[in-house]
Amino acid sequence: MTGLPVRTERLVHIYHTEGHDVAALSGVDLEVRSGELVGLLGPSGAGKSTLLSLLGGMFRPSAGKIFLGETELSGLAERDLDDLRATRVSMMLQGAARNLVPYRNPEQNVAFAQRWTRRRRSDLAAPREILTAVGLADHAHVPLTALPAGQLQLAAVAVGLAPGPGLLLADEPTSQLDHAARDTVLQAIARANRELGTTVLLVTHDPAVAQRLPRTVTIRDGKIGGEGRLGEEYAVVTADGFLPLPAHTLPSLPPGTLVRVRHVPEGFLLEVEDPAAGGSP
Amino acid sequence: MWAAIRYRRLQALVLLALSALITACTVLAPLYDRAMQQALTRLSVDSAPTSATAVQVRSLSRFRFGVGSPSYEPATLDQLAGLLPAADRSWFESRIDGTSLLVTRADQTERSPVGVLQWRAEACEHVSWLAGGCPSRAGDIAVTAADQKNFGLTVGSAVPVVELPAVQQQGTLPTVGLRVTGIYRQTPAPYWDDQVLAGVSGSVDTQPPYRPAHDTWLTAPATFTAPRWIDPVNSVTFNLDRRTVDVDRMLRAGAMVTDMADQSAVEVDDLGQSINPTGAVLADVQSGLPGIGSTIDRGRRQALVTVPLLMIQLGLLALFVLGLTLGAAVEQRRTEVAVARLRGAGRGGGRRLVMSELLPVVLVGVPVGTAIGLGLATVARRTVLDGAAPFELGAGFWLAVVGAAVLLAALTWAAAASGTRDGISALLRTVPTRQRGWGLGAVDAVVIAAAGTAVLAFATGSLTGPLAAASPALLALIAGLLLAYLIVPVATWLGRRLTARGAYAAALALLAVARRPATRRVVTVVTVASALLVFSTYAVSVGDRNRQLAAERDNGAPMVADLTGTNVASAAAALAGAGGGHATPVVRLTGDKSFRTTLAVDPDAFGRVALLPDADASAVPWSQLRVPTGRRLGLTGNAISLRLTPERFRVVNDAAAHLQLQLLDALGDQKNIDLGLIPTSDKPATLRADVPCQAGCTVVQFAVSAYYGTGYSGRLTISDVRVPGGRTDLPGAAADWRSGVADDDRVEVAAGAPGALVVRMSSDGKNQLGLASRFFPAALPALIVGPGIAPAGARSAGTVLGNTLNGGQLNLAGIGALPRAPAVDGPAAVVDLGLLQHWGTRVGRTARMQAWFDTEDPAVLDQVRTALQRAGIEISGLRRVSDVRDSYDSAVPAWSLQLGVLAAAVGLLLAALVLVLLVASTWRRRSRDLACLGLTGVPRRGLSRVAVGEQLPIVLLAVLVGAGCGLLGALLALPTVPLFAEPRDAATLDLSAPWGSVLVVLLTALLVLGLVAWLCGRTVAARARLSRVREVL
Repeated sequence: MTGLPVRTERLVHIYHTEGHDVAALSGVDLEVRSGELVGLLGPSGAGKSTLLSLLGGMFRPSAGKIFLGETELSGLAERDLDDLRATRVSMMLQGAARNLVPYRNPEQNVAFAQRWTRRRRSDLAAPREILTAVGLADHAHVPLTALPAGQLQLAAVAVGLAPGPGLLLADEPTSQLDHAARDTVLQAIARANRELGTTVLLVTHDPAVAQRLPRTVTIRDGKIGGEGRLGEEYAVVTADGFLPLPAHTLPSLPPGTLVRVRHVPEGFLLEVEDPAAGGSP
Repeated sequence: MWAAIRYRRLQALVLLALSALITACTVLAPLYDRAMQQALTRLSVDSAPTSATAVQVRSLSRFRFGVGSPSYEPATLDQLAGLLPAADRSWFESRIDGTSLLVTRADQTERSPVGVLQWRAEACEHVSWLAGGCPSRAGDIAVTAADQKNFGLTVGSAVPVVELPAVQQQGTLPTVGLRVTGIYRQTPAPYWDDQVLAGVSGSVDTQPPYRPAHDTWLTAPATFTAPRWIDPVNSVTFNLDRRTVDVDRMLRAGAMVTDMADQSAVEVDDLGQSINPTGAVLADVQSGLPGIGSTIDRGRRQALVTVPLLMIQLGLLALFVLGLTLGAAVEQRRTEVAVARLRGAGRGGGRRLVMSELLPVVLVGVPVGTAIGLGLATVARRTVLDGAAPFELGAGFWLAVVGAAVLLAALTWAAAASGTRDGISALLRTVPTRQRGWGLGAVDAVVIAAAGTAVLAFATGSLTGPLAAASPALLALIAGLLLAYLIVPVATWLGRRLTARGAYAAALALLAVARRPATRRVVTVVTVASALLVFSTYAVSVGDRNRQLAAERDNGAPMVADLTGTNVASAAAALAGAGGGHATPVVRLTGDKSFRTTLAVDPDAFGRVALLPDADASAVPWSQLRVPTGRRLGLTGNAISLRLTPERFRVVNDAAAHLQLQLLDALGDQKNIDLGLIPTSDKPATLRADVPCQAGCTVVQFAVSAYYGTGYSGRLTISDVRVPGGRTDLPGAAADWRSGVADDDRVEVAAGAPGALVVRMSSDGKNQLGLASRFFPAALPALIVGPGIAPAGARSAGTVLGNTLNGGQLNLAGIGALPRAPAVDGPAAVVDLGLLQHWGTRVGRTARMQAWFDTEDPAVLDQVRTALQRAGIEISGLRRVSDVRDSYDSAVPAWSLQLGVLAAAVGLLLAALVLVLLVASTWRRRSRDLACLGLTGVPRRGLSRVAVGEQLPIVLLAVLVGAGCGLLGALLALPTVPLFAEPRDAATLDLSAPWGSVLVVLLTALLVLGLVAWLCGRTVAARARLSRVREVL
């Protein structure tokens, strides 16, 4: 299975709660190419997990569209979403235990995860192969209760990769892990991305993790707040021409600040207008 | 699957136990019901005489439609036998043919005996031969030894006879010569269908032609083949094969007999002529099978009230519990379902995943429960039903097994479908989203409304059937649900108050009660289970008590023996010195329905011995039954003479008036002796008369006899009374006689000269006026049951008519009322046996001499029996309270109420299982919560108190509320429960609460469920290790 490209168009999601509604995402335009490994960054409550859940078909967006390859998710029937989850999109929930059936060992968990895929596809890798790929073959038959946190997370990764998905959505796969375990998990995910061509979207809080990802997307207040590529931070122009400034510039540029966009030979220059001077800085 | 089951093995065990319990109850209900029907059938058939379970078909008399009617020819044996449907022949043993008619000796003198000449197939095999042998040729007969003695019939005697047809024939009937070939004695056997061949020989018939009867003469079939008889009656008897009888057969047998009777019934026109088709087989069909069938059917219908009343409630509770249990089990698997859904399982896949784990466990419970149900049914058959029912697995059993399996599977499916319907994100929540705050759920509101409507309808009498039977459980369901909802705000409020006061352990427990959804489940289940427990106990105890009361009422004393003999005095004397005072004589005087049954008793002993469940025996004025009387005036001899001196004695129109002497002879028979005409000329006269008093008589009164309405008045002096060769107390002193005034009659006695009695009397002649001996009370004091007692405050006691021991009449004076007399159903009187004996000590046909015992001790019985035998008296019958009680216990109402014991036990078990199951399903979370509390510094003892306090108080509260509902439900439902096979007067039923039993089961429930709740809490607390805080799996 080749990696699945992802594209969202003005994606909006609103949580309806008693008394008031909360907009978790308010117009997210995101494009991830096939086989890309992308980290989703952002503060708590920014909408990262919501975005991941929408991509996994767990929620239906309040507005906007989600394209997984050529498939637009919001119009899919429940059964088609089941098909999608069984064959093309795999989601790793935050907390390894939530991805695993507690009374099965790692190999059985992988087989369990493949049960519904196997009915639709026959080209699945054997559970043992998947466990080998993530480095857990030696613990294939060890009860989950006997596994340390890192290996438990590797088992969750294996379960995530079990259906041979085109898109792996991993929510905080490295949280609560020590550095060694974190690196092992990251390596496993990166190997799947590299060797299987699986598109990976990975939510993380950890800057160390983000630095090791080829591309990161920062979500802020329900919108794309910026992108990082190979350690370089960028602001991203939205579909309707808005340009969210990087977070660290905001204290210096309070709301109401006038900015002039000037075309220069090297490109475009943003000039901040000094209100007191009434002219250029 | 096994890994999943092993992972939650306690939960699986509880589920399996619940499933097995439900299946066992489902299976047991039809098995027990069927066994009850079979036991009832067996008891009904076994206790019925052979003739009642046989079908006897008899041809009708040739003269049924009048003399000379040519249209009717009596049915032949084969035609009669053909009335029984061929398909039903297998129910009966081989048929018994017979022919009989009435004959008398041809000489037809006054001494010519009349009786039955009968051929009955194989009769010779069922008699023993005292002389000669079986009649084998035409005209041969066998007679009884009594006939031999009374009529000189010996083997070889020739007996010329003529037939005595039902209708007198014109002309002389042919004489048929019979010859005695044997002297037989009837051997008692079912073969005879209760027909008694002997015992009437020599007795004179009370109907024309007033000739002595002979016993049945047995003859050979050939006797009836020659056409010399006019009107022989053919009969075919089918004896029921009792070995193969069952309830289905008995229920159909009644209808079969009715069909046979209808098919062979005579149909006549207005002129009494038959309008049956030509050739129709007309017959008289006799059988007790329809009656037995009705009894069984009535028992079956009674079971249809009681069995559902108990089992439906148990079923409701069981289903509710299973629903809750499955709900909890599914809820525990939500995360796994979410994982499956994440991997593309879909809703159906999630449901199947849950089903694959739960359904096998639940279905394994079906065979286990079936085995348990079979075992319980076997135990019930052998104990409750005394082995009277066979082992059988009928359609009802298989239907119950399949029904239980389908029901359990459907419930599992419904629980799985309900629990896995949510989206993935909802499934992923640790605790499912619930309504915030306090409020009644829509489903619960509907349940409460529906159940409330049903209970209200039942209470107002407008609801019957299964829903009515479920009313007590529905009542408890309402209370349980409301209590569950009330507990949340109350526990929250109380918890906050306690928090403010610093009582943290209690506060935390209460707040946990308010927070956990399991609370409502526990409260509802425990409430319903406790209600069922109390209701069942109430029903069983009331049934038990009423059967005991009825047995005591019906028997009258712990043991009652019927005595032979007719002399009360000798029986009383024999009893007085025997049995250590445990027995007392009672004479029971009975008559037709209008008769007031009278018990003549020794008041002191009777008050001690008799069972009076409706009255306080110590408050009954027993001593007032005895009143002082005058001395007995005796007369012994064959004749009497006296001098009568009238003074101004005048009779209206100078009509004649006779002086009579009323006596009671030694046997108690009243004798009226006419002493002669009373002179009206004031001249003394000597009156003489013979008296039958050689063995001694008692003088009742002197009486004046005149035509009705002939008045008289004057003074009579009786003196110089002589009994030649005998002796007498007459004329006695003035104090020996009773003066009195009634209406227009007056009699006064005054002392005259020594040996003389002066009597002044006047009468309008409408009543016979007499000078009565004070030895006989004017009216015998009596305790009255029923109408007849004088109203309170009346100037005189009411009087009712009573009887003497030998059937004479006397007046009874009511001195008090009893609600019910022992062993008497209906109006009754209790009188002093000693006083009653003044009228004679010999009991007549309507009286029965008995000995009443205050114990069932066989040793006492043996002593009394020996003493009675010494006096020439035998015990002819014996009834014990325990025997009567046993007969009530061996009936469908008692058997079906026994299910209450099972319902109560299962209810308690279900409630305990729910407590365990809810802990088994939530202990990880609860232990983790407690561990977190431990982190904040709450000591282990405090954690334990929180864990126990979370369940124990609400369990105890729910038990109390449930007990209240059970009591109320019993008050509502019990009047509809049949307690006896035959309906009894509602006034005799005691449906009051059996507080002792109720209290015992209430305490048991509090103890058992409280202990389980305490153990569960302690178990959860013990597992609240601090390491559990970091537990992720």
